[in-house]
Amino acid sequence: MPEGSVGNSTFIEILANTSIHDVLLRYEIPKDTVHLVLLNGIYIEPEERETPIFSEGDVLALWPPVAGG
Amino acid sequence: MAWQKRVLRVDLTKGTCNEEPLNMEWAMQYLGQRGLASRYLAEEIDPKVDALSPENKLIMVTGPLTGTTASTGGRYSVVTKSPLTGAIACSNSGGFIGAEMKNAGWDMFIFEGKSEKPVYLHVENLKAQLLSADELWGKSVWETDEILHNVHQDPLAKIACVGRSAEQGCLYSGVINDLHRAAGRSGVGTVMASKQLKAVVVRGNLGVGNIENPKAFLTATAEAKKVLAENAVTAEGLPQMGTQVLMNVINEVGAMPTRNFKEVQFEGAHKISAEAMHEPRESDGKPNLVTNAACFGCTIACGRISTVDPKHYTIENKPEYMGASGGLEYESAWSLGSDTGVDDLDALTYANFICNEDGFDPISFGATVAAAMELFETGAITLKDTGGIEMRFGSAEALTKAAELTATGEGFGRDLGLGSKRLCEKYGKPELSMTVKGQEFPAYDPRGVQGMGLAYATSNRGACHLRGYTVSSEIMGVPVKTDPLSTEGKPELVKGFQDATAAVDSTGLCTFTTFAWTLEDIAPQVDAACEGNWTPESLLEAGERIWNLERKFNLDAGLTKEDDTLPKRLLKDAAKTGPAKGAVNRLDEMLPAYYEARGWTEEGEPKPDTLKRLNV
Ligand code: SF4
Repeated sequence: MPEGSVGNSTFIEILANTSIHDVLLRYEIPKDTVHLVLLNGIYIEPEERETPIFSEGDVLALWPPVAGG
Repeated sequence: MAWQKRVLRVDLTKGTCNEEPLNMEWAMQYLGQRGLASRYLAEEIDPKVDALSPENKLIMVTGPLTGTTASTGGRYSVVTKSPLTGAIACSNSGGFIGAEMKNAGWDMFIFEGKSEKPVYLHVENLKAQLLSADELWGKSVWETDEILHNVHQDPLAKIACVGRSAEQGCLYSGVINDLHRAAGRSGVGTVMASKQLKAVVVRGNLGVGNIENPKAFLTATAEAKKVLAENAVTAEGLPQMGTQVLMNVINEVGAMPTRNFKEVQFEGAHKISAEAMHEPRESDGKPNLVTNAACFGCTIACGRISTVDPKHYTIENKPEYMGASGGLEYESAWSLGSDTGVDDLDALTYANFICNEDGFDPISFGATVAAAMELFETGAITLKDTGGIEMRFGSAEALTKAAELTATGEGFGRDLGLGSKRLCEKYGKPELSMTVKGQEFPAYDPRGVQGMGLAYATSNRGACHLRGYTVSSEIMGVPVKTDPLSTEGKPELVKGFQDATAAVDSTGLCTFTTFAWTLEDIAPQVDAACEGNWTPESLLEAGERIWNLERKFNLDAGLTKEDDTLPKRLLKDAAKTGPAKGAVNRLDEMLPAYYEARGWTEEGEPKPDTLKRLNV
């Protein structure tokens, strides 16, 4: 996790036209390790991860493949 | 083959143990475990019997792959009629006793009647006898386990038993094996105790041969293990984080039932999550999680072994709880935590220890405590009813005290042992019970995961996630991603999950393999081990057969279409936050199409053609 994180979350500032993949690139997170991508709790399809999508105050959550029961 | 083709019939009324051949005609249609034992139960008892009467039977049953070298091949099930739901019950457990039963030469133990005095069954290979359990009655699971290992001077004996909660009639007591593995749901332990059967001790070294095509079996199991080893969930996610990895995920998607389903997101989720279990604590610098653990033959190892913070109030002066023991799974962390509003990880871990120690289902228990908290906060029960406990949401003290009382059936623990439905009815607020067919919900709010609403409403054992885990598709995208907020395609999705799961539950393998395996990976293993021609299609058909047999049992027991529903709260009160904000579960959009997909009438009864096609 980047410096200044609390637990598993952190605040980040980004430019208006940033995509989810840009965020991954910035934090050196390999694309193929990220499976579950939620923006404000809603799943973002892989093809939507290339386009600018963010608005002020959004919450982005990333997970590798996870499952349980 | 792979079956031992041997059944042990234990008549507790007469005190006899007799061997009989396994009905292979049924085995070829219903495999083992859940399917096969349900077939026996449906044949041998009147579905209308009182679940706690001697006329009910209790079956401990393995699958054809139990005890083999297949990964996770150590499962067994306990099948009976449930005292909690009045429906058929099948609770599945791992650990080691299933494989031991098989190694002792048996596919299943059928217990019938009721003993006059407490007894336990001792099985050493093909020798079986009932022995007095006078000294064990009134003892916890942990004490019973220790005493029996000492009495038989056999540290390798495998033991399943009931705790004090079952003896006291708690309606959601389970059968605990290997100290902290549980056939946990629907009160199967309560039935066992009602027969005055305290424990089952098994020791076997006959081996599990009988593999039809050993070479093909070795190839199939090795290939399947490779799939597990290369899948990120089964190779990394589950061993590292356990099922608890879901705590933050489900909270984020707004499907985390909170405070008796009043809300769908819990502000304290991160404090009781898998990530929190890895955090070193202040007192001793150690994390809650000590290690992961595996059941017999499992190459996933999702089990959690934990300790309670040595400085925590719950274990002050209680050395017996200071060691490491079975830790929180997602379901127990949710029920004991989010559903009660308690975010104290150590209090939850302690309460979970107590559930294992005295053998009661943490899902039903936590959910019943949540209902009691709402009853208390709305004034329907008072300090007089609770014996002075302030049953408020968020109170760790109330939760841990409730666990201690439910373990022994003392004071308010007796009320809590009724389960949420009977508790809420007793105090005049049936609408506060979050149950289906009398069984408490697990950890996914059906307002945020629409398919789960249908899966819960139609589950043959009452609210349950393991009967059709569409969360896998709706949230995790396995095998394909579907929209959790849409009802489209959900009837077929639910049916598919239900049938496939019923088949897997009958093989001897663990359902968690299905995060990596499909029936395409499972069928070659079953086919190589067993006689007959087992393909993904024939497994799916066996699953559908099992589902319809269970349904028929329930209808014959007196359940109807009216029981395929959800509490009003989930159908009428919209989710307040998160992606599902404003949503209720739209069960009415899904149920008719589901009945149709199943080949059932509008009344939810399997059509004669359907039963004929499946040979039920
Ligand atoms: S995946 Fe977990 S529950 Fe299943 S057999 Fe392995 S350790 Fe046991």
